[in-house]
Amino acid sequence: MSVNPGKHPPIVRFLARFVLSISVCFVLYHFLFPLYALIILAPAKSLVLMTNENLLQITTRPEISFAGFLFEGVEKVRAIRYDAYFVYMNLVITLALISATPDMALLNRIKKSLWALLIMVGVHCAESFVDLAYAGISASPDPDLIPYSDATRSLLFEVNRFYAHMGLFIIPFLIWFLFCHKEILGLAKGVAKASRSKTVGRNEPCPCGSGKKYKVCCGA
Amino acid sequence: MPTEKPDAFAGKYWIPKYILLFLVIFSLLYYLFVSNFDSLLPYFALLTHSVYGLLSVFYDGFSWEGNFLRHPGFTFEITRGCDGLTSLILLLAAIVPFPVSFKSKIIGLAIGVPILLGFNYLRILTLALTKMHFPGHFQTMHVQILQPAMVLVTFAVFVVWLMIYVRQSR
Repeated sequence: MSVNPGKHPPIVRFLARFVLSISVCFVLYHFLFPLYALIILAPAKSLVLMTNENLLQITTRPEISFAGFLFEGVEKVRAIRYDAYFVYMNLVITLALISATPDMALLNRIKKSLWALLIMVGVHCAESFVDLAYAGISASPDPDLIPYSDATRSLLFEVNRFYAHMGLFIIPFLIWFLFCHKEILGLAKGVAKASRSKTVGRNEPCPCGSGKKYKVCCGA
Repeated sequence: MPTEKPDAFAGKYWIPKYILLFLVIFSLLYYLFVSNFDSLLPYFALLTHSVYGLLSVFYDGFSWEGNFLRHPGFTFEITRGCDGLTSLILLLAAIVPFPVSFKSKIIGLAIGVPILLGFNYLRILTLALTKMHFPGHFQTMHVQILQPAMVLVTFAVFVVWLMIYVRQSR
């Protein structure tokens, strides 16, 4: 017996879609992570090398959260702040939220997901730069060799700390809200268009729960 | 039932206003969160004690001191990041500036906060049990499964609040 998705309450549809989206995104992320980390870390490393002239080379191993820093004649290995696998995971959450948001055409959903992906790549590049720059400071064999001012160091520390605590929460929320505010508003206003379901008759009760007929409510 | 103004969301600038207020509240709460670590210690101790209380019903050998949970095989520290407060910050910052009635916000927080704290309690409990029975999987469970799960529950609470309570109250 086939199940008509239009007959389930919107909240059930949202949660089911959310769980499905997060599972699919997570599996994709798991397999694509090495490639994604490579794409993200390449510009971040170049930028750190450009800003810290005492560093000769950076070798990253995101899968074990370590980075090697080669200074003149000295090689140091330092832990990157967090597991990169975890740090980049807010991408999965963002894409799953966009995928699960109801009442969006497929093309629109894909477009928004691609924009979100682009923004997340930028955010992750910036965060990886901050992370590597800060790890480079702590790896430096001579504190006098560090080219950053005290203000820059504390800024790097604060950004790092903020991202460690909040990166997983605030970035997906902001991107989701920016891209899907109309749909989020739809959830709150009760005009989430279950009306898109072709199975609702004009004289049937409106699926938004208003108690009116569909033709005089969402179908008007 | 609370009555919402029908044009609560109709204003042209409600989105930038909401985002601005969200960021202000979020920043303020985050500042309080990172700058008052010592004042959070009693909460960590309470959390540790409550986890100890439940575990000691089923298992022998557990003890606790401050925010440390001890077992002959391991020591478990409950500290910043394990507290569920980051989820609460997001939920508060998301619900408080939303243009709905005060009562709707209070109900959202009154239901959402215990759900998040309860889920966090379960998370700590699961981590302690993982450390005890499957120590090799602790890191995966801690970082890659339960942290994102906490985020998902936070978002789910917000959306459910929008879909069930706010929607019905309009």
